[in-house]
Amino acid sequence: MAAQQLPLPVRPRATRRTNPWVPWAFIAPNLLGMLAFTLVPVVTGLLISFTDWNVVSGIDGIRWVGLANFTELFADKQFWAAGGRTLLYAGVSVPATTLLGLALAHALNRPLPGRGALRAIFFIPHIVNMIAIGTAWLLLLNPSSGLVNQGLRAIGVDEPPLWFISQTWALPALMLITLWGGIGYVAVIYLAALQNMPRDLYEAAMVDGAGLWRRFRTVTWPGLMPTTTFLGITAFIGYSQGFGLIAYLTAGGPGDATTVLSYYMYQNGFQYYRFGYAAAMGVVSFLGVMVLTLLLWRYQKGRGLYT
Amino acid sequence: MATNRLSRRRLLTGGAGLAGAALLAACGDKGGVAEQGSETGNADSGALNWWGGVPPENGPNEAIAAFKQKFPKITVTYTRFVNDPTGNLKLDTALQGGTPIDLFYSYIPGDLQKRVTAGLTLDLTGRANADSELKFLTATDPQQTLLFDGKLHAVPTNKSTTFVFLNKDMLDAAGVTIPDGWDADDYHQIAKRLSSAKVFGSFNSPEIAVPVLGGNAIYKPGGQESNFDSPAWRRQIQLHVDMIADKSAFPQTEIVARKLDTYQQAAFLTGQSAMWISQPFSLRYVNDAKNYPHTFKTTFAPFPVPAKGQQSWTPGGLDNYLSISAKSQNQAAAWTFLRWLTGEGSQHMIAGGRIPVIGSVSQDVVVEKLLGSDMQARYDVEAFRKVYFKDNIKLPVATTHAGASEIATERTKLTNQVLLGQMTVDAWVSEMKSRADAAIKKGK
Repeated sequence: MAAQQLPLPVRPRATRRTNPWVPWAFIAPNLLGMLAFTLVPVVTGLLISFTDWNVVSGIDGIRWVGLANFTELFADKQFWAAGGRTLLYAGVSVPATTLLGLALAHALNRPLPGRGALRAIFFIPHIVNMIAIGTAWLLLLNPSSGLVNQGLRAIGVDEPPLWFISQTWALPALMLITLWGGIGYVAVIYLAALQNMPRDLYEAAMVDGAGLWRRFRTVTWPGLMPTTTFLGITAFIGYSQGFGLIAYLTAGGPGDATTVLSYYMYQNGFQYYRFGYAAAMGVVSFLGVMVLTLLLWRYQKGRGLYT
Repeated sequence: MATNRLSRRRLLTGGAGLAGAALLAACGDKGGVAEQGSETGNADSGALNWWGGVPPENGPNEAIAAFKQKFPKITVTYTRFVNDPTGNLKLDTALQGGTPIDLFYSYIPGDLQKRVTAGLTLDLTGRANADSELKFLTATDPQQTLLFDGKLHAVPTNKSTTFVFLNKDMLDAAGVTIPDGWDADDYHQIAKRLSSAKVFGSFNSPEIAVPVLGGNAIYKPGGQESNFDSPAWRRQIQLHVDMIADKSAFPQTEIVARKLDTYQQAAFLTGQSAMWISQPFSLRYVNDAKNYPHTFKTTFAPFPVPAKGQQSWTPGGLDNYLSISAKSQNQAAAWTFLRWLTGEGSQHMIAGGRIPVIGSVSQDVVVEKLLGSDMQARYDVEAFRKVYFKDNIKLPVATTHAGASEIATERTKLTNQVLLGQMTVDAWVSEMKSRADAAIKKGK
């Protein structure tokens, strides 16, 4: 019997030569936008940080001052205080949003009536206009007529917080709103990750006798680490630049209680016209955020995630 | 083999080069700056661009239409910028960038100073000196308006003065009569008498520092140091703290929570406060029956002096400074418009709360434009005439501005704290003094 003849291996078709400019044509719109609206401002900002410039005096009025802005910055108590507030704001808001978002994702991942509607409801704050959110919370947290304090009084709290007008409570109030606005988005991202988790890992863990908490600790949490890293880093970068709500609700007050770095930068640049000093602040805060982001990056890298 | 790939390093180098090129290109463009004092264009024709912070429907549109009747060959286009830091930055970058702007307003002396120093404004001294009605603006003793090295770079288009709005119904019900020549302590006592469970006697409290110290109240003579350790400042803050404490002034908690600093009229026109210290621009809210319906009549009293018999300044002054751009190609026509707007054209801006600086408009017209057609029903018109056209009102002029924006921000913050009870008056004085001194040092 004649041996069965194996089919000859198919020779791969020669790759068609494409015009080398075609890929460039595809990325050009985005690249040009990035150059014009990101790279050029970043480099210009860096140059401005070594100058004394008030814009009104025009380009001719730019005065090179070397490191003077940075020297002044390091001696500026208000700058360091604003930096501390920024770290506190981001440092509390990021883990709180992440953990509560994760808990919410778990809840919304279970079968329950109206699940689709609930997912949409929790996501809505993420897409609502920030000023509308601010106005709603301004009314809710009004010290005398707001629903929150009326509720607190009804349950026996005689002196509820003064929220935005208290130096103690203004920053926590902003964190509360940030949390409310952020957990829906975090939950949706986690939900997508949870739905992609391999079921066999859970089944194997159950066979091994792992309980709910152990399954979460050994299967869910490590499996979600890429998502957690992504959310942690993007939220940290976003919250450390928090500005809109603060500008609208408290304008950095009362006193300096909510003056975070981005607001202090705005004040120096746009209110006092000290653009060189504000740019120096931007450079230092960029470096600070970059260092902390790199630390987060390194923390997750050893765990075999984004490598 | 040579590669021609775009590496990150190349990309960054290219970006830096692009930024540098943009800066150098901008450095090379002088924008065709007109020499200060030279006159460009024709006085009777041209197309003018006029930038201001007043909404066009509150006077500018009407003024442009009236001007067109008189000077048909000059076309005026109005552009509104919002008078806040972002809006002013928009104006400054437009002026620097060569946007055709012929006339523009500065609302804060510090903003005007920056624009004058940057050479963006035309020197108007010669024109004002040649004009019998505007000559007083260049006087240095007593100084009437802002001058820079003795030169006039902007013509004020509004004469603001401060007086007290009173709810006449509440005043009559309490049997209160405002004494002639009343002082800040009288004001406090009357505010207490007008207070009740649902009404605060006053929305705010009288200023003491500017009336005692004048337009440069925040600086010590010489302008090198701040003046917040002056007894006048301490008294001003203490009076407001005391009035809030005895509930004769609106609580700061409510003012901050409801953003009433911006919407002060809401407290007075809804009957939550019986007195309100404000300026003529606020009359438009009293006239606004749609948004602020109310049944009581508003009467008026002069601004209370710091102490009886003491000569003092009334907060206010000549402001809304209108400049001609040094880059304007139509300076002659711009002057024609500016001069008309400060004279007979000023009546068109009154309804928006801008009061003529020179007496080209009769008192009757001013009253009619300010108080509206329904004035007898809404106002004690005689009281208004008596207060508003009072002789010998001494208006302050601020001539020093080092660190003024920063000082204003710090003052708002710290004053909020002290009025919210989160800081003592002593701490306010020392903190305000040190922060303002630092701002002056930086602002030099």
